[in-house]
Amino acid sequence: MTAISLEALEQSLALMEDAEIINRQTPDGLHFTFIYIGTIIDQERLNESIMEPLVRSFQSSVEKSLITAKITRLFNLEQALQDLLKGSVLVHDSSSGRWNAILLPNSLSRSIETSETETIMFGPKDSFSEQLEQNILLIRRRLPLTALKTERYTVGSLTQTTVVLMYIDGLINPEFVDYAKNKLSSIDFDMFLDSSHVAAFIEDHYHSIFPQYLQTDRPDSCAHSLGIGKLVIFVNNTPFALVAPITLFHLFQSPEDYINRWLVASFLRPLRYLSFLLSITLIPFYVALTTHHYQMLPLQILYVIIESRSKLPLSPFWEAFIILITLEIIKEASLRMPTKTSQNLGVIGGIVIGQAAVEAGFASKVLIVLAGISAISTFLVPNYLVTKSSLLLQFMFLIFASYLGIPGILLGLVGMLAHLNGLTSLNQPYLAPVSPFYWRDWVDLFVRGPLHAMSIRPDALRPLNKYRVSRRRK
Amino acid sequence: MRAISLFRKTSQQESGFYALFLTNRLQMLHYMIVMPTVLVQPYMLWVIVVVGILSQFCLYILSKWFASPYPAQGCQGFEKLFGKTGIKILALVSLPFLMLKISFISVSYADIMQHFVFPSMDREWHIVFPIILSCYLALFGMENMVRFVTIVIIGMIWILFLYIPFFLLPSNSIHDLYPLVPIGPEPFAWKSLLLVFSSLSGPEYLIAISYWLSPQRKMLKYLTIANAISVGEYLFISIASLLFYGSNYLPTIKYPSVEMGRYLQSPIFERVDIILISAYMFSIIYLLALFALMVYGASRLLGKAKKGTSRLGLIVSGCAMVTCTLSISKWFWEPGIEQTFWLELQMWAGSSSYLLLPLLVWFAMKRKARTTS
Repeated sequence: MTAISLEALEQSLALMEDAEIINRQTPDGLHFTFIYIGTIIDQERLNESIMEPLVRSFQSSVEKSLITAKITRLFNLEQALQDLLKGSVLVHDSSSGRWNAILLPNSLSRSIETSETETIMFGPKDSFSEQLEQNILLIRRRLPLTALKTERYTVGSLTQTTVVLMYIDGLINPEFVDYAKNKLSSIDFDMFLDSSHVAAFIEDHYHSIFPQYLQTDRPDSCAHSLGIGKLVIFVNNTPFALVAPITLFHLFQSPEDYINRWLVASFLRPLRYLSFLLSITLIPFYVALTTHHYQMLPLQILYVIIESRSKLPLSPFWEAFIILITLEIIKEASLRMPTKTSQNLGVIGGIVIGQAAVEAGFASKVLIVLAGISAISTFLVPNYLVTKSSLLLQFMFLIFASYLGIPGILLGLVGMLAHLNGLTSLNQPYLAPVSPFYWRDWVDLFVRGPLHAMSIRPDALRPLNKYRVSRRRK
Repeated sequence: MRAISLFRKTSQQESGFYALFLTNRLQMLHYMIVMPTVLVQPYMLWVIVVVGILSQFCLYILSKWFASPYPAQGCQGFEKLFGKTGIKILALVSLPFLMLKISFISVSYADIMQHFVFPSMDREWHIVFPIILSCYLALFGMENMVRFVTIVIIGMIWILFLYIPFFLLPSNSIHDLYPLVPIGPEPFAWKSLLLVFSSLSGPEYLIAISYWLSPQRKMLKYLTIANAISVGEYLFISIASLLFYGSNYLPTIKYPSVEMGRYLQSPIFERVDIILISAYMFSIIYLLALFALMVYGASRLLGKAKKGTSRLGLIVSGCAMVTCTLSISKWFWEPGIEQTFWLELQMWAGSSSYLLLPLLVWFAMKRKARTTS
């Protein structure tokens, strides 16, 4: 630890254009030195709430002059620099020789906006922003509990990113909290610019293509997760919070499920699973049928496919491979382009290129139709990361289908399920409540049962307080 | 090779459902391969019911084992019951039984696959791919394996519904199921009795994995339900094939339950049997993985059991499985006499292990109780 001094601070802040060192004198002749970084503090508040009261004061110390401010006494240079970089103003009192820090961060942030990644028709519209405190506020508003605990960590040797672990004490299984704390404490890396960077360091299987933390920018979704016995991790400067432990099935649940009528939601949820399955197996199925199992097609459909493929120079595998790659190029391009241009690109890519490919004899009409269905199916899955994962799976199944036909697709499915069965999120099984089997949790799995039937929190999470209704509380 | 914990146990979950699902899958393993070729007369349906009751007796003895304190102690429990040498002998005896079962299932399935799905592909490839995948599944360890059975059930339960249309055919008549009592002196079909009993065998292997099933006193309930479901499924498929083919034509077909799939039609697919056979792979791969872990566990008991488990050890066990199965397929699986020989061998091996293994464990427990008192 280095002793704090004006010379040491000046040396540290050398060549920092936005660093300010200001000296002021009170009517009583006391000298105060203010050190701060102009770009990260609220300068208006500094003038109004700190400088003016202090300089005009007749009190003998900073603490007595600024009775409403939260003042932290500083003892070493490292602490002083850390506070300075977090948005504090350092105040040196020449009479006592003390160094104090007053936190005045610049609250520059975008306002609370509607979530763009998890849009819903009805229900709460607010979403998280890049400001950590604001995000915590949105949760505290929804869960006004003293049991809602927050623990702070700093990660990243360069970014010094604040990470907040949030959970409901007395409800969540303490095993999860301990595991997350251990993981967060053991992080050793220089930069954390997004919550996904933190997730990469705390997830159990970083080679897997499946996300083991749910990233969401919806406060209502986070509050619900906390309420059923999960924990939430907030990372400063990112609007996406991490929710854990999760299962594969959580990635198919949308906040809208709990807003819709339960019968409607129960119809839509299986549709998402089906869409996911279609998105990864529809094209491989076409390849398997046209390469190995023509006999499976009824005569009328067979005529259509044969007519459609009769002049194609490519095998079904290469035909599908080229179309899928083209489709992905168009999808990626439309993501990177300005909104209006991307709409045009979608039309050009989807209709013009598709039509041209058919006319040029590079692809069959049937494949274009299937590729379209497959592409649209991916968007039914509410989680963007799963959508991206399905792309790789599709290519894997395509290779299996081209060599081994339908048994190849089944081999791939078993392999994928075996992989998923071995995955864990926060050391909890990824396929719960199917494997391990918790039959009571099935009320909110493939269908969304009525809320009245969900009086017990998920068994798979093993919460300390199982019951969601007060009359059954033990 | 990094040491991994293939045989660790971390959770104490209620596992009656796993026992139920496992028993059912083990008992239904042969439905596509041998059943219902032997039950060609309607009155033979009673064989399934009678053997089901006999199977219940074996499961009752098995439930005594689950209710005892030994399974919860894992390997130590077996050591207390049989002694160190006893375990080694048991492991040594169980290996040929396991290898026979693995080889028989794999080659029979590959045979079906080659016959119905990929006639141009070598049968050996149909053996190698499922075993490779089963080794991958086994690499996740016994605890994961045991709970994977739920996925296998979900992946296969729908197959049964495909047979419903065979009950709704306009040509069906209740008279097709007569006579339910044999007319005149019929030769007693020992073989069909034995074949059905061996088809219902398999739950005896639960003894080896009882440590992961968190034994409990209610186990008999789950085992009974599983047995009843299996008997129901066999009856269901046998009646469907009897109604569809008739008792005169049925004996001439090698794989009736698979052939029936050929007659199923939908607006999108014909030859539904290809999907049906492929889906059957769920069960095959799962049970091969379970047996692979058992083979590895048994060989560890014969060697240095104190050393930690390794991926290499399991892969070597997988290689042994592939070698054994491929040898049988390549040199000893000619249609006709040799195939029948393997079927009969499996029939005897399956039946004897199902009858004797629970009895052996039960006698050992009785003997232990007598000596300790």
